[in-house]
Parts: sequence; C-alpha cells; structure tokens
Amino acid sequence: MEKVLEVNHVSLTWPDFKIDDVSFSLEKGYIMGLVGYNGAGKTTLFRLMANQYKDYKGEILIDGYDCRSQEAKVKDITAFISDDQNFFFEESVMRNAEIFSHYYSQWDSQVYKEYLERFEIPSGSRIMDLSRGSFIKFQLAFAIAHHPVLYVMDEPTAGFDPVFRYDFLKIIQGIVAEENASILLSTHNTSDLDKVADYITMLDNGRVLFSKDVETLIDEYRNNSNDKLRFKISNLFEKGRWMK
Amino acid sequence: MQISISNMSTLAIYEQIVNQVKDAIIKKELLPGEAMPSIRNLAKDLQISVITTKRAYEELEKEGLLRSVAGKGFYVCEYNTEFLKEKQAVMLENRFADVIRDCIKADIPLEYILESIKIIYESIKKG
Repeated sequence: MEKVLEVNHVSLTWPDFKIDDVSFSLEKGYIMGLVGYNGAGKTTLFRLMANQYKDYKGEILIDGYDCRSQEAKVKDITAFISDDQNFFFEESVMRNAEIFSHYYSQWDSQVYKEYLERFEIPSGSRIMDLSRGSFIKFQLAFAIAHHPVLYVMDEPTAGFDPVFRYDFLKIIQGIVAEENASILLSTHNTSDLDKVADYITMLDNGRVLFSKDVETLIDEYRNNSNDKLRFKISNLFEKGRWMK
Repeated sequence: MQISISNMSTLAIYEQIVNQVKDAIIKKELLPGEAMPSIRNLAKDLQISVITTKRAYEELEKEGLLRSVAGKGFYVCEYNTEFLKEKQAVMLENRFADVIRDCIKADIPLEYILESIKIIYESIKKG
C-alpha cells in the first residue's frame, strides 16, 4: 500500500498544550476525517504539515518527503485549504492564479479554468468579493489545477448550509475518483464524515485515541450497541470521553 | 443497475449493496462478464465511503459473484456453481413446501409422506 501521509511519533510541548506521540498514516485514494474537541491538536498538526512550527519531535512525511526538511517539495504536492489561506484579496481570481501558480511544478491553467467554470466562479471577480462558499470552491479549483497528492482541509464546511456541504462532498469524492489523491479533513460537523470518510482518526488532548477505517468502526458499533440503525461518528465522541 | 441506499434499513450499507447486486445478477440485469462501476465512482454516486464500497465488492468476490482484474476493476463472473446451487436449493425447498402444504391440507401424516418420498426416490433411481 502506498502511503501518502505518514505521521510518525510527533510530540511537542507548550506551557498549556501538548501533542503526545501522535502517529497515523493515510493511503493513496482515501478520505480521512480528523476529529476531536477544540484543543485536541487538529489545527496544530496541520500547521506542522505546513511547516509553520519546526520545533517538534518525530516526523511527518507526505509522499515520502519530510515536511520539515523538504518544505518546497511538500508544498508542491500538497494543497492546504481553509478559511484563512493567504491570497491577494484585492486581485482577481485569475490574477491570483498567475501569481501563485509559479510555485507549482504541475500547474495546469486549462484545468483551473475548467473548474472555475464548473464551480461558477467568474475569473474576473476579486477574492474579497467572493462569498465564503465560492472562496472555498476557488481554493479547490486552484488546488486541483496543481495536481496535489494530498489535500489538507481544516474545517472547510464549518458554518455552511446543507446544500453547500452536499455539493462539497460530491466535489471531494470526485477529486478522489478522478485525481487519485487523498484527503485529510478536519471537521466539527461529523455528519459530513458519516457519509464519505474512509478512515477516522480521533485526537483527544494531543493524543490519538484511535485511527481506524469506518467499516471496522461500524462493525464494532453494531456489535456493542442495541442501536442497529445507522452508525454515526458523533457516537464516537461519547466513546472517546469514556475511554479517557 | 440501480443501487439505492436506505438509511432506515437495519442492514449495513455494504450488505445493502451486496444484496442488490445479487438480485441484479439473478434478474439478469447484470450479465456475466459485465464490468462493475469502479469502486470510487460508485462511492461518489451513492455518497458513501470508498472503504464501504470496497468491502461490498470484496464480499461479492468472496462469494464468487464478482472477480477482480488487477488494474482494471471488478467484473461479473461468467458462472458460479456455488451460488447457483444455493439458489437451486432454495427453489427446491419452495417446491417441497408446496407439496407438503397440500399434504397437510389433505391430512396426510408425516410418516406417509416420508414413506412415499422413499418409494418414489427408489423407483426413479431404478429407472
């Protein structure tokens, strides 16, 4: 199995927060949900992947490249998508791509244009004028156009209505099907993950409670519960509390 | 073939897919040698996880209904004796049930039914 993401024994300690020996991995072509309460360490992990902090033990590899020592290569093959990504907000969608595409070796402007069209984003509109939904879709179009092997998404659907979230899930499943990429997605809205996640990694207080595929989780749930109806990931939060 | 997933079903999602594919094969909506939709496309269409779709296909492969071709995907098996035997057994049971129901209606005791079956069995075997 081809590992796209390997998190190996990552630890760091701050005065009021720690990440404690976190390890998990993700194969090519799958979607992993990263869940946990606020302060569990999800966003911190994403920041380590983006090399915003270097002072930690262990290593994170994306497609075999070290996030700390091979940052340029890692950024070339990874897409970071969230509400607080830096773009030139006063410039147009097209101008932003002209500026930032130089950082990506696999950039394909034809693909970019196609996806802007598919997502109904006029290429002349300024980033600051985009709705939040369009801003996320713009980032997806930009990401797909540089053909990353891994998409890292921090709370991409937070605060959106069900229609957008339905759309969004279709899009990311399409990415997995057509681009053969993997997706690491953190979210509070676990009902999104109930539908499409292949693996769930649950963090709590900076530690991994478990990292399993959903079929295993569903089996465990059906064997240990009277509720034979639909398994929900939100049930795991109770389990997580209980395990503490 | 149209697969639909019900959230209200007591069956797991992968079981629902397995059952519906089986039905489609029996009804000949899926023909031997036919290519199945790719795991990832089916997952996308049904809005379920890839792992779940994969489990369903693997289950069908284990039962000998599908076969996987490396790098190409899953295909409906040409024929499957094990599966057909199972179906035949069910059909036979149904035919027996009909006869036995008639016997009960006619108040024929079990001993007599068994005895008759034995005699008929022997005479057919002798030819």
